[in-house]
Amino acid sequence: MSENVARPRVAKGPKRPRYLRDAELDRFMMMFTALIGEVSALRDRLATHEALAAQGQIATAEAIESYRPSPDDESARGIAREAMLHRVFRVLMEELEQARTAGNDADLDAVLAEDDARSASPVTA
Amino acid sequence: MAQTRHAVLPEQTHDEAAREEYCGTLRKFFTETLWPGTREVYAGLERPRFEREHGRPPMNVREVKQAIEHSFYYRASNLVGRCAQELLWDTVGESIERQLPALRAKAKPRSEARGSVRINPDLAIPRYVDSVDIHVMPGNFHTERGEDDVYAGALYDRGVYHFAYGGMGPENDKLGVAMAGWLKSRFPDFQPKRILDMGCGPGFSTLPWKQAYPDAEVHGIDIGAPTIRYAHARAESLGVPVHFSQQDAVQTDFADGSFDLVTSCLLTHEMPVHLIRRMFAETYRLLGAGGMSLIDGGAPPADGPEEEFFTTWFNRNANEPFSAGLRNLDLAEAFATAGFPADAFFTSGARDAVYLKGMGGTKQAGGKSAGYVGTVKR
Repeated sequence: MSENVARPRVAKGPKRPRYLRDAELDRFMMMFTALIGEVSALRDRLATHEALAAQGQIATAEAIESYRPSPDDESARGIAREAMLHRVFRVLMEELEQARTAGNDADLDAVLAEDDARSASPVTA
Repeated sequence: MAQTRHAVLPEQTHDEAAREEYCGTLRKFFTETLWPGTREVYAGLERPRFEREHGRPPMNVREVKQAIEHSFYYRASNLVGRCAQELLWDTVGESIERQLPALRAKAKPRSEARGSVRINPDLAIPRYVDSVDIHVMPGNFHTERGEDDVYAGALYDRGVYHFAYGGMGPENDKLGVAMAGWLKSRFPDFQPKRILDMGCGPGFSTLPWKQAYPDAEVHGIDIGAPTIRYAHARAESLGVPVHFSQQDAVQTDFADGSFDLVTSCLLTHEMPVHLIRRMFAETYRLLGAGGMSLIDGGAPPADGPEEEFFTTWFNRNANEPFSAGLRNLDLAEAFATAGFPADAFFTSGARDAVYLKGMGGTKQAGGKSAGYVGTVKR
């Protein structure tokens, strides 16, 4: 098999149980996307620490404020941010993946029903 | 590609810049990944489900919405788009609020200015402007936050840059540059001496007219005083002399026949139709014989209810309640009603949307803008 086949990111099987009430989810998502922003800003700050260290500098508050990422660094940070969003929102992409593979998978319920039917029957050679 | 620095562009601390960049990335994730995916979920899962249940495809926009809203992917993606829209202004706004006194001081008109600025404290803010913060931008374009305020202008300048994740260009002027460039190539003999840009905002579409026609006297008007003050300071800093004034496009204080070209860019989709008509009538009054009106044509009419639904995200989710009215307005008829000869109406035809408004505008969605629309006074 080719090594380039995208890894599946959705586990087949029973549906995930439901947890939260719909009415509360909207505001929760508002807080959630803001929190990802804080994580992202922290990650950028860490990248600045690393960049300063690579230049042999100490990451004082002043050094961090005066640091300007190069265009290449900016680009790398943007790519890392996008990758982070794809990781964080993996669950959201489930339906999209299903839409792209609709009808291609074996149906678990059918497999289980078949198993029940076979279990109830005497084993035949 | 960073935004071009000018005297009143807000500055960012390290972490403010990082948060703003995150907002741009979230907008990009929504525009280029999540929203195009809703079309796939609709085509692959939800339309087939609707057809199984009803024995026919969705027949109108309400049924398309009903079908796609079954999908958690759709509902959550929509929500992420709305979160990005709100978070953008809040993030940029926090940074601007911190430095607002300094920005106000920097924006004060100077004697050496080559352009000018006029504020009208008696101007009545129309109810439609005060009733909805377009783009979910708190305070809209006009809300004053103190003397000599420039908050709304700064918020829009920095916010639009991240909204389009840099796609409007370092000076947020790609739309204006493209529009002026198109007019020059379509009408090479047309040399306007006086140009008016209505609903000019911070001047993204105004400065390109001065750059395209350096000998012309260029004016920009907007309903918002903070936006106009900011536009003046920005233009002066960028070395482009323009005359800005706080005015309502439906009734200006310019004399009859003052202009050779009256234009607007992304204004009409933010106005109720009856005021678009009044603006066209005012345009007619302001133009001299041979004068031209040129506007962007908004989104082209949708090809069926599914396209209608998938190209109106901003209408439903980002406080653009008037955009549907423009889409259904016959612009040729509206210009003719305002007094322009019916046979003078022209369009550029559909064009690739320069802007990243997504969903009706993006390459990913296969969208086009309606291009430019205009007419000539005889």
